[in-house]
Amino acid sequence: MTTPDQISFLDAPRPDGSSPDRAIAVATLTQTTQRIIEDRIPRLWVRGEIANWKVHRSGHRYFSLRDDTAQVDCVMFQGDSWRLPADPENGMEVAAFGQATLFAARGRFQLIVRSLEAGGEGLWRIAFDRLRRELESEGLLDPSRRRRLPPFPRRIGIITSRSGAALTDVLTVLRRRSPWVDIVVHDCRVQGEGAALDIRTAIARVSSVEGLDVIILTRGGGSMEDLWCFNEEVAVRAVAECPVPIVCAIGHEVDVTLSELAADLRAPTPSVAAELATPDRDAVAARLEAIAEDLERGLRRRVDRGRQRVVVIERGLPRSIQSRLERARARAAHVAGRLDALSPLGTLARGYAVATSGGRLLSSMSHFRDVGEFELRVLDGRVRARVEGLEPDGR
Amino acid sequence: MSDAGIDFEKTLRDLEAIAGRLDSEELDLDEAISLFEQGIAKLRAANRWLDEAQGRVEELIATATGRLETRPIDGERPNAVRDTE
Repeated sequence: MTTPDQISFLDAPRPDGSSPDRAIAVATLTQTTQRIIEDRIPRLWVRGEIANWKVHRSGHRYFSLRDDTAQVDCVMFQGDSWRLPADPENGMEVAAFGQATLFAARGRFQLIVRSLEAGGEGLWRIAFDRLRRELESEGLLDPSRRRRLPPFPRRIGIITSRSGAALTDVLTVLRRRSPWVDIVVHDCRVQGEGAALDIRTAIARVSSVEGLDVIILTRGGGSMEDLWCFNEEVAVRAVAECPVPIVCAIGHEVDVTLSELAADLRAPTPSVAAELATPDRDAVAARLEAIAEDLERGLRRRVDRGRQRVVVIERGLPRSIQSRLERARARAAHVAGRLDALSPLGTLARGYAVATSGGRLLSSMSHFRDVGEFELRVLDGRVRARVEGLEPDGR
Repeated sequence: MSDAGIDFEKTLRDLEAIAGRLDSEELDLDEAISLFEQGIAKLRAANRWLDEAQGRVEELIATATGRLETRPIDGERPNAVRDTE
C-alpha cells in the first residue's frame, strides 16, 4: 500500500498554514488528507447496512453503508460492479471490501468498494431466483418446451472454451461412440465479463450451420462466480430460443444453472452430454446383427413353407405348371444356397463362434474386461461360458 | 463423413419394416426373395458405413469481415483423441 513516494511525503515537512500569510491551498489540504487516509487505512472489509443504492448510467453504483451511529458514502465503479450478480436491496446487511479515501474535488470521505458480499449465497441467490421467476412466468423453463434429440445426429456443434478440458472430454466420447459424426467447434469464453454475450453469439453462429442436428453447450467445474455467466439473462434466453436442440452441461452435477434449465436436455458433466447426444456404435452394430438374423429367419421360413406346399399339390397338376414349379424350386434352392453364404451361420458351421453378453457383441479384449459370464453362439445352439483370464496378443 | 452418407435412421426403419413383412406377411416367393435381397443390400451398406464413416472435426470462426468459416482443427487434438481409442 505504501509506495516509496508516499514514504518520502510522510517524511517531508508538514504543510505550514501557521498564519494567514502562510495559508495553504484547499487542494493541498484535501490531497494531504487523502494521502494520510490512504496510507494509514489499508484496503479492508467494512460491515454495514446498504442505504440509498443508486445505479448510474455509466454502470457505477453509489450508496451508503451505515449502522446505528455512523454512515459512509461508497462508490463501486463499473469495472468492479459488473461482477455483482444482482444489485442488493436497501437495508441488506453486507460486507464491502475497498479503499477508504478522500474524494479531493469535493472534500468528501468515501469508500471505493471493489467487491461486495451478502451473507451466504446472498446476491447470487437473489439474482438466480429473480431471473428464474421471470423466465418461468414466460414459460421458457417449461419442460413441455423441451425437444427430443435426434437419435442419429450427423452434425454436432460444440460451444465451449477451446482450451478447456471439457472440449477434450466431449471430443473423446463423440469419436468413440459415433465416429461418423461431423463436429463443429465454436470457441467461447465460459466465464468472466462478456462471456454471456459470447455464449449468445456462439449459439447464433453455430445454429446457422447447415445440417446441424444438436448443440452441446458445456464447461467444466468452477466456482459459483465462474459459472455465473450461464445464469445471466442473455445467455439463458439464447439457450431457450436456440433453433436447434441443445444439450447443456455446466460444472459438476451439483451445480444447476438457468441455462441448463432452459435447455432441451441437461447433463451432469461434459462427457455425459456427449453420450446423451449420440448413439453408441457397438449398440448400432448389434441392432444390425439382430435385423440380419430376422431377415434370414423370415426368408428361411417362407422357403420351407413353400417347399411343403409344393409337395402337397404337385401331383395332379398340368405339366406346364409342373415345369414352372420345377423352375421355382430351382430358384428356391439357389436362394437357400446364397442364404447360407450370407448368413453368419455359414461362418459358424466353419467352427467360429460369436460371443455375446446381454445382447452386446464381444469382439475385443476390452469388451470382456467387465464381463463374468457370457454366451457363445455356435452352429446349433448357445453355450454359457465364463471368463477365466485375458491374454492380449503380443505386439 | 462423406456427403453421400446414408440416412441411417431411415435405413434402420426400412430394415425393420422389411424384416417384419418377411416374417408376417403371406408373400410370393419372388416377393420374399426380392425383399430379402433389398434387406441384405441395405444391411451391407449400413455395416460398411458404420465401419468406414469418419466425421470431420472443424472449428467455426468469424473472419474480420464477419463471415463464418470452418477450418479443420489443427491436427493435434483430434489426432490425440483418435490415438487414445
